[in-house]
Amino acid sequence: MNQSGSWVWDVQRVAPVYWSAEMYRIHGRDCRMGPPSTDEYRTLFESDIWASWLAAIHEAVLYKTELTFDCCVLRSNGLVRQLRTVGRPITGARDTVTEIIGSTTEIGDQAIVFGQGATRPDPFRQVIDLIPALTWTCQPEGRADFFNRGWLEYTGFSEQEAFGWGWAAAFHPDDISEVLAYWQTLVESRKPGEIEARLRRADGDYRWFLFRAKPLLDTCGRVVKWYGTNTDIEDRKRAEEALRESENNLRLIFDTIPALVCTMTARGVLERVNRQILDYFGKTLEELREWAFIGAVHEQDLDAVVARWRHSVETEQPYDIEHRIRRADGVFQWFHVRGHPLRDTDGRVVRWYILLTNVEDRKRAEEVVRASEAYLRLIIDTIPALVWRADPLGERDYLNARGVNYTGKNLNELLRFRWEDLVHPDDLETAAKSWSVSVQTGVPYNVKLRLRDAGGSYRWFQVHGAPLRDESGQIIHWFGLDIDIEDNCRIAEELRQTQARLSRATQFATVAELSASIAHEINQPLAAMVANGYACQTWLSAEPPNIERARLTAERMIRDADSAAEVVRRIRALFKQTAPLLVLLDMNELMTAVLQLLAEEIREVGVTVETELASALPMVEADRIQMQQTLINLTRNAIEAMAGNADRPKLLSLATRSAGGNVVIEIRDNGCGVVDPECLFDPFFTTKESGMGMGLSICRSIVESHGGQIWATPNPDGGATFRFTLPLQHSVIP
Amino acid sequence: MSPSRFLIGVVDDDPHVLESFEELLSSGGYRVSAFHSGASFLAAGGFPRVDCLITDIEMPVVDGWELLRIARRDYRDLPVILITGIDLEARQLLDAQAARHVFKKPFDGREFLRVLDDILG
Repeated sequence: MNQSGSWVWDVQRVAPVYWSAEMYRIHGRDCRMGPPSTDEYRTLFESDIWASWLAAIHEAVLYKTELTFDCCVLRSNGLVRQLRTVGRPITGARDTVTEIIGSTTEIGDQAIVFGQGATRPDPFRQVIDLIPALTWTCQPEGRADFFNRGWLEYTGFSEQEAFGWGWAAAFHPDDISEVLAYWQTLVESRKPGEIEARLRRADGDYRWFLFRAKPLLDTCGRVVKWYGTNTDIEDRKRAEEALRESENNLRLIFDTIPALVCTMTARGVLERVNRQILDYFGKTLEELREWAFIGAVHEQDLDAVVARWRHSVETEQPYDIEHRIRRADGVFQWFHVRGHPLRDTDGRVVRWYILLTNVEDRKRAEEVVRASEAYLRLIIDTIPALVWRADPLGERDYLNARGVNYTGKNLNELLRFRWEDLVHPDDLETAAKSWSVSVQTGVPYNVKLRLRDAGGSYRWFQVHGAPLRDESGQIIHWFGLDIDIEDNCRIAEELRQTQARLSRATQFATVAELSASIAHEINQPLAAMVANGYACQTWLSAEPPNIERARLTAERMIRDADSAAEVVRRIRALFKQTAPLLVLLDMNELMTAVLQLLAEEIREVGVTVETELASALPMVEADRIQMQQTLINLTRNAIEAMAGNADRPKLLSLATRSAGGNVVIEIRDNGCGVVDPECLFDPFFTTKESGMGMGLSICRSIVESHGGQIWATPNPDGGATFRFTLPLQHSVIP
Repeated sequence: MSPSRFLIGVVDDDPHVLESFEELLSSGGYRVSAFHSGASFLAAGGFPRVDCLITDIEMPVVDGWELLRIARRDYRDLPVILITGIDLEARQLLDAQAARHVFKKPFDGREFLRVLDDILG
């Protein structure tokens, strides 16, 4: 019970405008939806059937012939139905076909049987069948009438399926419209042509083919026959596709990599740039071609950049430079610019690929690191100590600038000379032993030793070394600090020497100290006596006189006077202990002894001593202790007078001679000189901040008690000379 | 001669000297309060009571300099006279500027009373 549905096809819309109810049933479509649109219609068929249907419609429209079309449809219930469709074109105005009216009949599983075309045993046919190409011929109006075996085997079509317009079903549905339209233009124009399209292989795969068609024309220019070949261009198409894809990828990379990329010609002319370059500079490609003249490169870098680029272009060597480039907003940023030449097979440079990498952040970071490194180095080089580093085996491999300055050797020299060569021989054994223990056990190194400086003299150092360990506790380096403790050592030494001197000083107590003590002792009772004396006077002169108070104060005056006398007695007793003990004295020998006593003081203060001691100086009769005190006092005074000699050497001259029955002793300095030679020897006269001014006074009394004289004279060239005489024959004044 | 309305504080660690100053000031008509140490002067609350302080410089513990410092800090208007048995060094002479007068032992009693009269006059 075959059912027929009727329909009307709109050529313009490429879709039916009317379906009878039976059509809806056949195709399993809800009639309320109306006839299908082109896209919907297409889904009713297998894709190749759709292509064939379009070809059939096309033929009917083109030649205004009735169409007959057999096909299968897949119904929604899963059954396959064979359909036969017939139609008649309806011509509208202008003699063109506008509609096709037809009917479609379900013919069940009934197969449509076509008669097999007869094959002629034709040698040309064999050749054509065997050539490795798909060939075909068409009648002048475009209907196919021959396909070689290659074509039929490729498509899996029978001749009957392919002939006429059946071949269209072998095309890819996406291509068929274009192919048919193009074919129509060829047919109409009678000109050869070619087009690329996909052709379905028997197994269902599509491959790209180049379709070439050429008309055979008669003498009147009418087409006798069309000849065509289909060449498989799938591989080329794929390669093209791959190339296009790869180009797209490249372009994508070109435009998205976080770097500025451009190409230049072999002569160095800017060719192509990526988007980032345009964005960065804010300029067009044309403007950028003049990059050397538009301030794109920092002016301080421009000469170097141009020179380097010119060099690269001329020598064809890679280009590599860092310089500053101006951004669109005028800010310069550092870039690392690298260029590589692309060469052809003959080795000639075809073009340059230039990569500009923004290294501004790196530059800044480097700057920060450099600054911080420089700062650290500055710290290390300026801290007042020798800083060193040693490897885990104990070999020094770094020394700071202060260390280099101190030792006068740089590290390379130290490695050659060995660090140990700088250590004082007396300290070497202890230091080396301690260092070796530290290196072996990792305990901090801590010694005091003397190190030789560049000038060859030694200074004391406190040496500290500590290991730097990695996570596993392995020692990576030793770091060390040598602190100059020479001054501390010297101060300690000086303190020790001062103590020694003090104990020695008590042996020949300085006259000045003694005199200060005496003065204070005497002043106290004197002050009381004077005050009481005046009070007494006041009481007596009062009206009426206060006799009682006067007598009381008078008694106190006597008591104060006794106190003063007691002090004097004590002092006399003191002097009695050192009462002149006259012996024959060689003043030269005594002078030498005094210089020995004062030797350390003289050396420390930096005084140069000249002695001019008369040979065969007569002996004098004198008290050795008192003479020694006098000489010490005068010599000390001379040394102290030169304390302010900043601009000239301190020169102390000692001389003895005999003259006019006297031995003359002369002590000469080039110090600050004397202001008032007359008052010098008076008690309490002093120019010094400390001291009671008793020293010279006592010296005078000693000298005079020996029957001698003492005096001072200023030197014409600065400083003063103190002289005293001791008579060869005299009577000692007790 | 009737006693002055002024009370003079005297400090010296030498008892004989202290006594003699006391005598001198009494003969000059002043009332005197004598102390053998700076500490005892402070302990007796001497500062607010006296009209003038005469003190020896060289004393143990609380010396004349210390008393002068306290006076200048807390008793701005109290006149202080320093007495010394030694020569003052330059720096000490500067410090002594804070006192009204410095006498070196032994000193002229007449001059001493005249200065005191001037100060309190």
